[in-house]
Amino acid sequence: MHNQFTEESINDIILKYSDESFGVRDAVRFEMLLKQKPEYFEDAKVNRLMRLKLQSLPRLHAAPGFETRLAERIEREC
Amino acid sequence: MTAISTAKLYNLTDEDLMEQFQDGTVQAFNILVSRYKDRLHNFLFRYTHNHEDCEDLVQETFLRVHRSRHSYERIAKFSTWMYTIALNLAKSLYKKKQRMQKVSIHEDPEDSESREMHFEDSNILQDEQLHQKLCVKELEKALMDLNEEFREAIVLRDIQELTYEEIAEITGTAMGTVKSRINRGRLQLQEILDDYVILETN
Repeated sequence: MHNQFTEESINDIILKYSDESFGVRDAVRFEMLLKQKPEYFEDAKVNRLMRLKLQSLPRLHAAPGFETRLAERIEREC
Repeated sequence: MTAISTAKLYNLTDEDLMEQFQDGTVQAFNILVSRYKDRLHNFLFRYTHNHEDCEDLVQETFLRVHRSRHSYERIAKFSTWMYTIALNLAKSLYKKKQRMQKVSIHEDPEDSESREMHFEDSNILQDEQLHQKLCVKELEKALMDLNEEFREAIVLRDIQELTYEEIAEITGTAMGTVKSRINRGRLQLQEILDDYVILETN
């Protein structure tokens, strides 16, 4: 059953490593992957780091009065 | 369908609200607007990098939701349906901008609105804040330099926090493709950021 990593399953494992839902079972699969293909460790690390960075980007908010401007536009155009 | 009180409307799911709106309850639409206006701004800003264009696109998205309310069917999640509309609008604007503009689209000097971006932690030191702002700017810039398909998958996943299934539906691609784009996109993003460091040090 083991050790046949396809491109898709490698993607899966790498993405799991960057997700919050990374559990024990995922950790085992991740370790198995690295044993066979240690070169993917760097990809996994970068993926995780990038996700964290992107998640920490400041969140924008609609400018004040957005609803009023939208309502006016709907009134005009609908 | 019987009229429903505003308080009860707030507890409804997006799909229920859409149904109420289809039945003529305008308040249901207003609640959907308040639920999604910020999320759509966060999403569409990554295509426009200009507050004015971004608001215009968010308005246009809601306008289309309003106009095509009767074509919405409950089999689809409301958010997926709405993001598909937004993504299509963003793509056309992005293409139009690319055709028209030869100059950088990273920052629009004509964007009169100088809204500050807020960081979660307001107690960080000023130097650190400045450093963080520079990092944010570089990351936003790198996102704009990213291959379009990678960017859309990454923004939907890492900024909008959508599931892979939702992203596949919105972008009309297979889930394996979505995952591969996210993986490769994040790697490309790191490469772009590394290039900035090399450029700066030279």
